[in-house]
Amino acid sequence: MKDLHGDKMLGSAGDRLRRFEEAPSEELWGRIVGDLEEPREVLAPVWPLWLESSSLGAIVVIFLLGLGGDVLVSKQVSVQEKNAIPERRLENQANAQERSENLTTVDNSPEILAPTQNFTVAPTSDPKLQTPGPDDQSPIANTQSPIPNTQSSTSNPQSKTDTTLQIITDNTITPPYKKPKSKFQLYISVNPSLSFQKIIPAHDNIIIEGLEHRSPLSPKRFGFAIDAGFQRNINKIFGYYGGINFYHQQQELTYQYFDRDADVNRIGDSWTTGAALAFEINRPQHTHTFSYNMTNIGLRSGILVTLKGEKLQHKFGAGLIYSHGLIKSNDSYNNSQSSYLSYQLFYRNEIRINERLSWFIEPTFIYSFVSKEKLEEPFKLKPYRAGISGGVLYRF
Amino acid sequence: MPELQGLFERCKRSEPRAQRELYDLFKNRLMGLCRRYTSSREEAEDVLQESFVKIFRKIDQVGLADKVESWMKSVAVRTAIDFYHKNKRQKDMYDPGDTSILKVEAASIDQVSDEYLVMLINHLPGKCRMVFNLFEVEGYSHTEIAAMMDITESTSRSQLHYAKTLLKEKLRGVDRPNHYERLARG
Repeated sequence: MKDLHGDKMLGSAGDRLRRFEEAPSEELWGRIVGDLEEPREVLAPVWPLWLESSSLGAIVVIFLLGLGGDVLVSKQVSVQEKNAIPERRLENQANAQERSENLTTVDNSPEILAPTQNFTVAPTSDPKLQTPGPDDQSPIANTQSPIPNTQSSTSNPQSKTDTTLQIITDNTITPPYKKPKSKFQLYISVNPSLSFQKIIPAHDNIIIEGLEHRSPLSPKRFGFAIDAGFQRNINKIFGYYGGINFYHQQQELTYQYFDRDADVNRIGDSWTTGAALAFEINRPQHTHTFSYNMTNIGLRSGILVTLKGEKLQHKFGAGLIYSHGLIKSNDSYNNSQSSYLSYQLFYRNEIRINERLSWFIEPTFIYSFVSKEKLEEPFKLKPYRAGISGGVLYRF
Repeated sequence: MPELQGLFERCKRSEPRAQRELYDLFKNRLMGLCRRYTSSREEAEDVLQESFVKIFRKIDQVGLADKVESWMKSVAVRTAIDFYHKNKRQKDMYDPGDTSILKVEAASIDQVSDEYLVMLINHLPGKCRMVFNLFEVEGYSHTEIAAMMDITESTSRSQLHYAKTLLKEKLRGVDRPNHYERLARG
């Protein structure tokens, strides 16, 4: 049976609720701006998916082949950026839940109940619904009437008639304005690598056949670097980094060469035999091995370009490394009197673990285009190396 | 209307000042909407914050300026629904808690203030609060509500009935927490 009286009681609730307005707190705009300033969930993809997959595959293969060590490949969080919830949003929800719990607690507390009663009194227009008198023991005794304000339906949270909301806000919730996270980050990384050398002959006395052949993935090429420093995002796409670089390798290089001064023997004598004049040229071949141990320390700096992603970011980096040797040696190569200026290129996959921490993995290529070595050999070397860095970022 | 058109176009270009003007223009209306869909002012502000972020990021999807307000409201409604879904484990539990503040005897809901009316809505269990708002205030059909809320039409009808029952009980000054708990569980 239809509850006609009940339906009549509800009256124009729908229309009134539709027109209901209320002013949000002043700080809300700051929170919105903070959210808007955060990077968009997905930047325009500039890296084709197939290339991304193949590059990641190549990284893993090189890492396994080159080092032969145990490689931990953790399951990475899939990028569902389109539907991803910004972290601030999640924080807000967590805060909301927490506030909800607090609200329940506060609602039941007598300290808060008393001033909240200004919504509990009957309209004064009906004599049956008179406000209780001052001698009433009920906590609603000293409250105001909730008679609708027909002048304006906008509620001002600072007004006296909204004491309930004000008190709850004061006691429990007041969501603090969250300052946007700093763009300043510290990093530390380890970069195992395989080194190679380009030979540039220094003089013409000998003919260099070449360095001893080694597999590109030979363990004899192994070296490692440790980098530490800072990076900072300028905007959603560009950033820069700077820090110190430590590199160590222990290698022996072997090369073969021929003396330019050859022994020439005449093996034919046209004067006596009438045969054609002939000579035999003998160039003695030599093999020489020298130590190419290197411990360099230096500075690095460069730019980072974010290609896409938010939680899993793809970045391209380019920069310069200036390094100087530390190892003193009486051998033909003296590391302590050598210095290098190199350029560095890398492709970084950076995964955010939480608000503060991220870890990254990046295939790196470093080429020393300026090499001032103390090398007493008949050639100069321009070392270059390729490797994969793994590191951690800490966000302030 | 021309002013709104200009404001709308500037917002499409992500001009911060225009965004602030649009916010100031609609904040009270949308806050009122969010207050109806949530159980507290703080939750309403969270929903409003998320709604405006979505609005500013997607405003270029709106073709005509005169559609902006209804579009903004629909964004806020859907954000509120998302918020409800993410928190529904808590919201569907009826919390009789501070029932004393809801004790009122009125012949009609027209005799209470708007703030009190919203407070009555706030104290409804989550699901029936959502359904009540969507049906009675926004004017959606039960079919639409079922799709939006991921419930059946019959659930939508029963939740609406339940919401009205609770509101009437409150208006009659009936304080029956056990009764509400039973309804909420049912």
